[in-house]
Amino acid sequence: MAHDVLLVEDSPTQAEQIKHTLENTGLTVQVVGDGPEAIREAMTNPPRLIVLDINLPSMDGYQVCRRLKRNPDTKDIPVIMLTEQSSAKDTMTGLQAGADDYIPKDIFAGEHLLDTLRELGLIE
Amino acid sequence: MSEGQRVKIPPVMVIQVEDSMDVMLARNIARRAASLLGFNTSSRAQVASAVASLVGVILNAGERQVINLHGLRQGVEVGIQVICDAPWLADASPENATVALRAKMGKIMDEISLVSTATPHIEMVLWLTPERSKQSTPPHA
Repeated sequence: MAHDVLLVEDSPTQAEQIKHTLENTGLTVQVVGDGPEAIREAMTNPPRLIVLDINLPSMDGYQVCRRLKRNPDTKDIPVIMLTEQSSAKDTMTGLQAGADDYIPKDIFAGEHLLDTLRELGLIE
Repeated sequence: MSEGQRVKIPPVMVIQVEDSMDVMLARNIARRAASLLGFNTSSRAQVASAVASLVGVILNAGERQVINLHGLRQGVEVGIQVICDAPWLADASPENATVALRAKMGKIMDEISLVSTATPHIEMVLWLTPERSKQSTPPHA
């Protein structure tokens, strides 16, 4: 069954925090811990949104995003990168990979994530 | 970009930069300003990241400064402008300083420059093109 959000995050602690924020809005969330699994899941059970970390085992978030945006089956799924890498160059790399937003993991991350969900029409 | 004088328009926001904790607040204020001007989510991320980089430049120089953000109108074009005094660059050549800023920030803003006045200041602009507009973001409900 497809969930509303596919959360790609290899840290169980951070995944739990982000999942909690998303579920509080009424969205259903599936968590996966690496890039290849995220791509498989997005293709077989397309979610309405993908929230993607950058530092992942085996394939980084930029590579995952590029592959998703190259695939006709997944290219229209919005991708939000939520990451600890926050330099200008990291941001541009993420946006050029096709991300719809790039949010550093800071104290405002939850607020910005919810703003973007609203803008994408995923929550009221 | 259209011809004509550049006019400052709302919103006008100010960020006081004193220590490394201010980077998060700066990013947040920049996102808000860009959103009020109609930038889409990815362009907001660009502006926020550029302002965060500018905070890093200020703190690396050992300075405390104020960053001013405001809307900018030139003819029919609208953008967001970020301005910050840069007294630590008083002896630097504007060309070299601009090259250094561009090297640090890449193409995150349309315009990045050091303007040489009595107190030199850094100016950055991102223009609100149709691709960067909120209206261009497709709904995914």
